Amino acid sequence: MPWPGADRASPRTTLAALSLALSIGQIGGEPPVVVTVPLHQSDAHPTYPPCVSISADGRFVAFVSAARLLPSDENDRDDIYVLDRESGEVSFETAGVVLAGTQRPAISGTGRFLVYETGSHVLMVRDRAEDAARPLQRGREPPNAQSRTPSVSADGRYVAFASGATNLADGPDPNGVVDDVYLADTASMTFRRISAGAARTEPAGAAAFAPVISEDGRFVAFSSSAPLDSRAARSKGRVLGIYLYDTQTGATTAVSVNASGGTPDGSSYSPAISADGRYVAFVSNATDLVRRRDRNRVPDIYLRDVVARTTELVSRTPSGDGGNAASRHPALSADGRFVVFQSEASNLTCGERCGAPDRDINLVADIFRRDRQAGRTEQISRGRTPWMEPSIGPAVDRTGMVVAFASRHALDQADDRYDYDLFVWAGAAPR
Amino acid sequence: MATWIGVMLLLTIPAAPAQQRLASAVVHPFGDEDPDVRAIVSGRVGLPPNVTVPSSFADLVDAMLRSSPTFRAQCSRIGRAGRLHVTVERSLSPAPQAAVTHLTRLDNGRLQAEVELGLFGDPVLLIAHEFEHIIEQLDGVDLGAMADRSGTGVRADSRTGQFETERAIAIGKRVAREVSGAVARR
Repeated sequence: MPWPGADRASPRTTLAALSLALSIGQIGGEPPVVVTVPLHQSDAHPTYPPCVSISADGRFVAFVSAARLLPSDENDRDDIYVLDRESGEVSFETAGVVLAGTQRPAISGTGRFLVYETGSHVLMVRDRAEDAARPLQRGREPPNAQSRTPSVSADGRYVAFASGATNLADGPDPNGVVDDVYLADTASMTFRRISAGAARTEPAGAAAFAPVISEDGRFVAFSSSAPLDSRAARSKGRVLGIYLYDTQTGATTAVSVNASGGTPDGSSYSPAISADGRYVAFVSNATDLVRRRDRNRVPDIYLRDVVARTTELVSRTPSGDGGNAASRHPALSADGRFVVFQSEASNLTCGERCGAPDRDINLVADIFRRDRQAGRTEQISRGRTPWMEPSIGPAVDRTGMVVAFASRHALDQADDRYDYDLFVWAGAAPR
Repeated sequence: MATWIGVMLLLTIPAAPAQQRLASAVVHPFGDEDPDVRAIVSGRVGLPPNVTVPSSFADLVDAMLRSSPTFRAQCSRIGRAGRLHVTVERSLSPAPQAAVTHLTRLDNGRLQAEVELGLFGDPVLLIAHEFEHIIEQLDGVDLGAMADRSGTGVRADSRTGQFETERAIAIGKRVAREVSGAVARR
């Protein structure tokens, strides 16, 4: 069911051939369909990739592009666009915005709402159906420090984000201008600081950041440098941890715990969350999250089932060991079955038994999708042979069948700019 | 005050008309083409200004640029690295290797890459191979760490302290194939 404004914003031109190529439902067993859009991002760092967000239904892909994709885009700085995979069109979402610095779009489940960072302190919430945007702030008072990294619930009502502002919520902000995680209800424009943990207060200097919200807005996972539950508070070690906040109960639960349930021996960060909040994937430098200790000395992707209280290594070789290089930026399908991530490892799909055409020798990040149900990992960022260029910053739709990422791989025969562009991969649904 | 002005600008600039907000020509199905059959450039394509080659290599490099999309991409990447300078020269010293690149980080933060080509071997393959080693560094590849782990495609020569990568070997061969293929098609 498209969002109410879909008809109004639908294409004005006929694009039959392209629409066929872009149609969402692929037949099982058919090769994936990939479409591309220029981004002209020249020097994206693997740890801070261009940001992409996919609506839950897989139809809309929000992205940042420095390319002038429309004549009305008259600058070479980053702007936010949305690709409609059904019509094959991109829409210019930040037209008229004069400040540089629009970044990190987060799009709601049906693509109606778009939240993004601006060049000022405030996040903007854009209603694409109404063609209107408003600032995410209390009344007429803008945040007094930077707000960033928004994540939006499926219906667009709730937005989780990090901010150093001290004037967003009632009461004192104990850690001052250091980032906290907030939950905004955009219907009432009310804000709650949700990263204080069980003690209801964060130590001075402790930061909370990178929140991700579940589809219904009930759960928010985030990173924090503070020990937010009683078990972590008793630990002597101080590492970044992943926590899960339940907006109904107000409880904060540690997600990144070691195999014994204690504080791990390394930091965890960059969480992703399933639709119901049961599964949280994250990056960790720790070696003791699972019983089979991780010996590769690089960041790996893990997934925590907060109901079963189990943790599994996602960035793993076929034999179950950690990959031979760093993995980052996980994204999860709604049911937690598919985990998409970027990795510099070369042994995730076929270990050291890869034949010549499949050997990953590029030494840079590629995009992988692990099917936890099938126990299989596949490389998404490749053609008949592996690409030699880096691919980074993946996002996934709720089915796990649509993956968007940035890559420096050439778009076509004429592309020798050697910069990052957007690739949207649509795979076949599993049989 | 500056923040207020910024926000007010955001809120008061009228939106562009809807018909100017949609485009389709920028979205393309991706074709998994073989790089060997990608376009040959008929005109002259220049090296980036931060690459210096001896005049005796000018015709060879010009042919590489026209014939090899992979080499053009390498040069585009190197050309975008503003703090890098690459010098290619013939030398007797690389033996027993056919070529070697010395990378030096200067005090001012600039990166100096000196590519030495031996007297033997295919210079097309060797230049592309060594350029790929430079791009590995632009990509931030930690060759030492990679060489310590199995299956990464990086090996270290403990005697010389130099690294070899399957990536550079593959790219060198690809460029040589593209150049020779273009010659064969003429």
